[in-house]
Amino acid sequence: MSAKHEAVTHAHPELSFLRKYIFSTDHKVIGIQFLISGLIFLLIGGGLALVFRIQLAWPYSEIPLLGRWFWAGPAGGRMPPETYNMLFSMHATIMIFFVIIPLLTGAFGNFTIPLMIGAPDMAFPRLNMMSYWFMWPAFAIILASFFVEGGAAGQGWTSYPTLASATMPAGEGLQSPAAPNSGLGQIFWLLALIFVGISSMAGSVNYITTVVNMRAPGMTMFRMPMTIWAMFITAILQAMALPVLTVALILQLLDKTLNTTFFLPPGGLPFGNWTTGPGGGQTLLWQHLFWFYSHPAVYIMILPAMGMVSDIIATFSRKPLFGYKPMVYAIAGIAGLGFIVWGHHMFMSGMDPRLGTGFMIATIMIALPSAVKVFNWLGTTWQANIHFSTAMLNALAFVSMFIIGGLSGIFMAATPVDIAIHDTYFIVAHIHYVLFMSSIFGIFAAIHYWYPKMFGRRMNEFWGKVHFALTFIFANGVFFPMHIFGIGLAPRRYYNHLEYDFLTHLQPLNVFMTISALLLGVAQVIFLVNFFGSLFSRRVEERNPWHSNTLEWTAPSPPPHGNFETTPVVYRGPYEYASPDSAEDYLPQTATPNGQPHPTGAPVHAH
Amino acid sequence: MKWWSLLFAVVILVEVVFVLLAPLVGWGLPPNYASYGSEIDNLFHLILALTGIVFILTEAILIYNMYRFARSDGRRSQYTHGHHRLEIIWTAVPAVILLFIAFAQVGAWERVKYKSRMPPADQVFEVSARQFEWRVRYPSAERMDDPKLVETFAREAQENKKQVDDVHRVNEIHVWKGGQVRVYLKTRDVLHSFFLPHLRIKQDAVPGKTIPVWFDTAGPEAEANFIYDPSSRTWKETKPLELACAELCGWGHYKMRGKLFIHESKEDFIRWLKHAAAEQNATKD
Amino acid sequence: MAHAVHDAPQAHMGLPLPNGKLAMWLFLVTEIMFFTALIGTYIILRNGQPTKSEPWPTPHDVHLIEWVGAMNTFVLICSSLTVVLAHWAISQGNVGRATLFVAITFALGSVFLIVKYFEYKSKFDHDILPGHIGERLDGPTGPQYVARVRGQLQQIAAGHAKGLSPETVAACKELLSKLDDREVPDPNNPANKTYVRALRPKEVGDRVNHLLKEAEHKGEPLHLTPAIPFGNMWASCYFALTGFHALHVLGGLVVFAIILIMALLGQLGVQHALMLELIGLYWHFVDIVWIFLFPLLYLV
Ligand code: HEA
Ligand code: HEA
Ligand code: CUA
Ligand SMILES: [Cu+2]
Repeated sequence: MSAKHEAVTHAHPELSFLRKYIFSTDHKVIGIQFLISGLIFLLIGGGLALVFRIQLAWPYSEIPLLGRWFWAGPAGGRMPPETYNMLFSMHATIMIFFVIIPLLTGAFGNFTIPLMIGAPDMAFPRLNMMSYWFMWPAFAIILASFFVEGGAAGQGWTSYPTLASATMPAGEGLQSPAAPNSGLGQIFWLLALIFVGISSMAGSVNYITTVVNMRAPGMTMFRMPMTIWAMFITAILQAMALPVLTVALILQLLDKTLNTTFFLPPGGLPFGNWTTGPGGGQTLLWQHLFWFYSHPAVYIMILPAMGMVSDIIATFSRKPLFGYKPMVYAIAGIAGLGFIVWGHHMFMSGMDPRLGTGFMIATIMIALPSAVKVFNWLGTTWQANIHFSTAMLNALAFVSMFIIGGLSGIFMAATPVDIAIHDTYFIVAHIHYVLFMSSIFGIFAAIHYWYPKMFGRRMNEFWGKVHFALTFIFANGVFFPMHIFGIGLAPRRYYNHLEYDFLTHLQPLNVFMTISALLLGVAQVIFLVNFFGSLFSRRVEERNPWHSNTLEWTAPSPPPHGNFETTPVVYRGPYEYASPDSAEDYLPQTATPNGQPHPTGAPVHAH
Repeated sequence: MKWWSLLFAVVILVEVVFVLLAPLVGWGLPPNYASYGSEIDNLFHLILALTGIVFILTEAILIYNMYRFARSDGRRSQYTHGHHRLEIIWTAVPAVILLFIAFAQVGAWERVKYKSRMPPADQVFEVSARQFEWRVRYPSAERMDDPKLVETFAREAQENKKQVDDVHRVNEIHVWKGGQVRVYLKTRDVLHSFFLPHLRIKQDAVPGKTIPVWFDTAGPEAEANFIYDPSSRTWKETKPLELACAELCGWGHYKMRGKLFIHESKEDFIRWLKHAAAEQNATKD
Repeated sequence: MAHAVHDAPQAHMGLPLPNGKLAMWLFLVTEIMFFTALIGTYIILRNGQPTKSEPWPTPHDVHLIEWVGAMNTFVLICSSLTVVLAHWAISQGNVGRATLFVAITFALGSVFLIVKYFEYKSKFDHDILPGHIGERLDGPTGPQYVARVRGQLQQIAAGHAKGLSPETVAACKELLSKLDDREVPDPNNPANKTYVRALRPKEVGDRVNHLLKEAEHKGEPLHLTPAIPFGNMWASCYFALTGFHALHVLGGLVVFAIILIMALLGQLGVQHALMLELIGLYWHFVDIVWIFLFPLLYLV
């Protein structure tokens, strides 16, 4: 018998605390580990944003509390501009590489894949554990980088050369002549991201193998829930795109430490009294390599959320997902097109403008599969029986906010318009509508939805709704005015917009956004208390609190190591809500065709 | 529970109203002085209109569904897995709109950025960026008469050559109203981006490259902001126009500010150029 | 179909492949993307900027010997063959023969790495290293180059270099003396001194290249950092490409070593056929990468 069946049938011996919760090979524990570390980093990343938002609203003012610790002395409690750069760079780096990607693929990919396809665990549990523990060097390095000489990296999350890559000539140390925090801080940044990359790559090989080979009997590809389709295609995206980022990171690391010249132009560069070593490379090469990964990466950061939201909307609409197959093809379409649009980040970069035309057309066409998704979500809620749970509210917010974020993408994809709005706050607005207002709302929805399965307990619905309403209002308050700020052509990554006459009249917007951001930050405390507090609430043994169809709800809550008591057998697709075949308004995938829930499940394999 | 739709409705409504009202309080695109600028602004407004319609439509449906189909006991949802014809319609219609949007852009983009489409220039200068300033090199007034100036100047910029009589200024862009301008854009150290908000032009400066940029001040609303006063023989800035850096270049990125001076005519500009040359010679000795 | 208990469990849902094999293929996909990005980078850098006056270095400029690379290619191809034979033997149940072929593969891989070691050593001896080579010497990095050459010339002048003829040493000393501004006495009238400027970095580069050429002609091991257009870029690409390839070879050798140890302990058996097949797949990939690298780096 193959190993996977063994996992089901053997009674699992009691494991020590260390093996059970720390070095666990159980996909659910690993998922929860990813979830908790991701949430902690969400706090850190959000906290950084709140600090630099204060500077934006009230430039050069003393930063309350923190100012006295960090910038005492000559700075007078004020934030220096290089610190500002560091803060937003680390904000974005942490949010993207330590929050969104680990939460979507690490936490929910891990938790949902085996459960929703009816497998006892991942194909390679040991590799799975390794992929989480590879995050720890990254955590340590990125946090340590705040304390190295010159501070953490401050070159933006895009780390464009030569600002990021410049280094002293061979044998003269690792400082950067270009910026104080581009020395060790940048090297740490590169190392941390390489570790994140290895972790994700190991994860994606595992996910693909699991989805392809470990599905329960009857679970054909087109009976898989959207969550699984999204995780599967995301894993493929990652497997194809991440190696390219890894190469880019390694090349920049070599440039910075061993004086290679990949991104340093011929002749080297002078910086005041310093010069770099001799060059010979191309600066723009980094941007191509980086965006070849990072554009697909933005879809890595949305597709899993789209998948999960699809399942949540169908469940709480008590209605089959509208257009299941078109939804699957749309995900595949977004992923495929995602590989040929990276140039839209480089319209103004000095890339041949003729390439820009091609990239623009491909980019605008990517709205098409996205449109299919949006319309099908609307179709799912049409003639539905919508149950407004916290999970559903967050999922609906995802849809409504993704429309805003996606549509603003069209403006930037239009090359002539991008001449005006490139690198302005319009882009910052776009980023946050797709990443915060979509992906994070998707994550909130997923947390509320799967929490009972993860912990066998419920999160408080009332406080969940309060948190949702406040977040929805304040997040719109922070990020919607950014569009207007961007249309006023206010550049991004600016320490102080008051330096410019053409921007001073927009300052009230900045003040409004900062106040909203602070309130938004406070609102997250509700979520934290609810999340961690509910861990100590009463156990609910109920397996299927939402009356959902997918396989994970047939397992105990929380499922034991090995997940299912018996290997589930799948008879139908995941969206049979309101089916006339059933008296209830749902029909689980495992229910036997005559309508009786299966008494014992599939036969246990004899040894 | 249907009242949750209200939260969504209010937020979306406030946002729509905000977008509509913002230009009234001056929170809109800054004035445009370039001939192609109105093309860019019109395309922006075209996309705003089209996406605005899509936005209001989709949000309205969502909010309506939330209101109308909120849970009521005893009702069952419609049991349907989709609708083939609908899928085709809502793929085809956006496809047409999107293709229209895409192809509407091509002309303006080619006109502004394609090297082959740049009109003959009246004026040429070199901008060399560095942390954290813009160094501008103008050919002398005498050289301005040379019909081959643009080609020779392009070569000089490429090969890092200078002429002794060049006029150098820091953080000051001088052009004249209605002029066609060619800039050769370089950087000595890191990426910067040459951004003139009122002229709707933006171009990154790339280490190791010399990039030609075209812009003009020939828009219908263009006005001079740097006026020569013959009586006092001085210039007066009537309205501040700015050059900004739009690519992160280090701690001073936010204050890498230059000024844009639009003279009333070429003669005025030449007068200023000679004046600047004289000033430069005076400090040289 | 009243009771699924009677249903035979439905067919395996996935591909007719063991998980390990599928994962190995997926791993190779990531590896292909990795090397595609590296090789693509090389092709872009190589074709992007070099011009007629500043061409890409020839193998001779950078002391790269084509036939050594060709030999290494042959060695790797042979090892690909032996790894196939090892898998064939073990699926025939002949563990002993499989062990023998694994040992040969291991030996061939080691030969490859040893040859690589000597290739790298010659780069270090000639200082063909990223960031060291003289380039665009009239630019801001010229003084760095002169400082480096000065150090090397001082070593030679102090007699630390072996195998150099007295003329060569003298020529080096002369060049060293010209690196600084100095006053030269007039041969006819020693009291009368003329002031001579130090050589410009560009001139230093030319002279060093000249010295190196003479020395090579005479077969003397003179080691000064040359001035080569795009020499640093060449070295960067060469070390990055061959270095990552060599790391992959090393990784394969570690696995072969483990298999050999298992065989020594008598634990290798027919049940390890899949393991040999997977490492064979990996090894072919490593081989194919080299088949791309060799012509790109040594021949084109
Ligand atoms: C989750 C992340 C995510 C997602 C999903 C997207 C989605 C899209 N993005 Fe975005 N993008 C980012 C994250 C994301 N982006 C980030 C982080 C940056 C900044 C990087 C940096 O510089 O720091 C960026 C930057 C960015 C740029 C570069 C701007 C610049 O620097 O000048 C561009 C330009 O084309 C762009 C375009 C798009 C488009 C066209 C989509 C499309 O996929 C959107 C498609 C969706 C819709 C259009 C909405 C739904 C459709 C309908 C309702 C139907 C019909 C519509 C019509 C008929 C119009 N994005
Ligand atoms: C998932 C991605 C993500 C998320 C969630 C956010 C969340 C937020 N972002 Fe971020 N942002 C990015 C991704 C994200 N951002 C990216 C990619 C960039 C581009 C960077 C670049 O240019 O390189 C960017 C840039 C960016 C800028 C532009 C900086 C500039 O260009 O100068 C701004 C400015 O306002 C901003 C603000 C915010 C705010 C106010 C939040 C808020 O939503 C945060 C709300 C707060 C919390 C969720 C945490 C709760 C906090 C507490 C409870 C406090 C207590 C805790 C501690 C003190 C540790 N972000
Ligand atoms: Cu220069 Cu930003
Ligand atoms: Cu993109």
